[in-house]
Order: sequence, then C-alpha cells, then structure tokens
Amino acid sequence: MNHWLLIASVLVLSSAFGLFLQFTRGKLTKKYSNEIFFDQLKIGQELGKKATILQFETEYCSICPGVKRQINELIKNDKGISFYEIDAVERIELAKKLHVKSSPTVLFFNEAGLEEGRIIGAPKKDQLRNTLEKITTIKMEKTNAN
Amino acid sequence: MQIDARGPRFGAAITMVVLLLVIYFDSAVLLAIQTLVWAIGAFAGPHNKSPYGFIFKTLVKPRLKSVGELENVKPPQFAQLVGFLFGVVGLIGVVIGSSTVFLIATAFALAAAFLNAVFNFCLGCEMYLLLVRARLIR
Repeated sequence: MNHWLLIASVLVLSSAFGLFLQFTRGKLTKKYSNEIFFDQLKIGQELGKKATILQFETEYCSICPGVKRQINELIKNDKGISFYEIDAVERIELAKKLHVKSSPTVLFFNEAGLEEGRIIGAPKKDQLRNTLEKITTIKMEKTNAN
Repeated sequence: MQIDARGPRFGAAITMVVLLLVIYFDSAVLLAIQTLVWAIGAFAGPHNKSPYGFIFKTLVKPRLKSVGELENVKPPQFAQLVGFLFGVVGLIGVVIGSSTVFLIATAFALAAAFLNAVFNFCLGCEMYLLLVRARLIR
C-alpha cells in the first residue's frame, strides 16, 4: 500500500469530518418539536419572564463550564431571563425526551415556555446574544461574554 | 479528578506526529513505543506518569499565559485506552505478518489523534460519554 496515499486519505477524511463538526456545532438549530413546553419538563424551576435557557451538561464535559460562564455573563443584568443547568446523565429520561444527544446542548424557551431553538456544542461568537435578542426581542447589552 | 483540558490535546498532537512516522517508516518499534505510552495513559492516567502529560506539565503549561478549562480525567483516560487497543491490534498485525492490519489500525488511531489535535474533538471521550449515557460504565 502506498503510505503517502494512506496518510493523505486519513488526513483528508478526518479534516472533512472535523470541518463538518465545526460548521454544524455551536449554531442555533431549529427547535426539535412544536410540542416542547418548559412547564412539561417538570424540573422544578420557574419560567423566566422574557426567556429561559436550559443547559444540558455532564460532569465529563470540558466546554460546559465555559458556556455556562458565557451565558451568566450575558444575562447578568437581565432578571427576566432564567438560566438552569441539568445533568444529562442524572436526567437521562428527560434528555432522551428532548432529543438531547450531546453536551452541552443549550435550549432556549420563549416567554410562553415554548422551545425556540437550541445550540449544540460551544456557541459561536455572538450566537448566544443574537439568539436571546431574537427570542426576547430586546437588545442585549454588549458584554465581553464572547 | 480534574485536569487541564489542553494537556490531552497536546498529547494528541505528539501522538499524531508519532503515528505519521509509524505509517511513513512502517515502524513497528515506534508503534510499540506509542502503544506503551497509551498503556501508561490508560492505566495510570494521561496526566500522571504519561510522558506526554509530563512534557505538558513541566515544559508547556508553565509557559502558557491563559488558564485552561478543567475537565474530568475519565474521558481522556478512556480515550487512551481506545488508543491502546488500536496499538495492540496494530502490533498483532505485525506479529501475524499482516501489514494491512498494522496500517489500518494505525490509520484509525491517526484519524482520532488528528481530530483531537486539530479540531479539539476527542473521539474516545465521545465514546466514553455515550457509554456513560447508556449506563454501561460510570
């Protein structure tokens, strides 16, 4: 077997897969279903007045704390937005119900409690702010969160 | 236990270079050395006695200005185990005289190391998470 060909094949295929991940993760995707309302999740938390953010994470997720910091920084001056974290392993049934397959997955609910979309993986720059702006239709204060 | 998440990625970068050399030179000796490194990472932890972890801890980390994210040691340790298994399969290929087995096993390990080093995507860690979520391991 031509070794150069093998090396080139591995690097090209891996790059293609890596680029696919780069382009698909960290972006707002459409809500999975029209049926998902925050109240139905029964997580014992209150719905935010403007929006609610739900982050599914695991103790083995290295990027989850960074995403949490970004979100907290972004919403720190807005009491109308609630942010909750859920351990996807401890609440595996809920994660399955919401079709959460990797961590972090951040779900956005509007003021009525309906899921508006989700971001899988670490959000891209300004993605969190733009998403919240879209959901709450308010201009978020520019921060250094991203 | 929490470790600096940049450590395993640094180790993956060295592993990637080693595996490129393994394939280029058809070197069973290099693969055996890399497999030994994986074994140390898998059974003693990637941060502890692993040579790559040691290099990161003593030479690289002190020179980094930023503070890295911490991660649980279990997923990268499991990834080392996966690498170790690929290494063993590759070495079995050498023993039975099958260069195809040797090269294919090394190629898979190279792909995983490349994804981790370049795209920060740890395939072994993802496998670990899937097994945890399936409640097959804790």
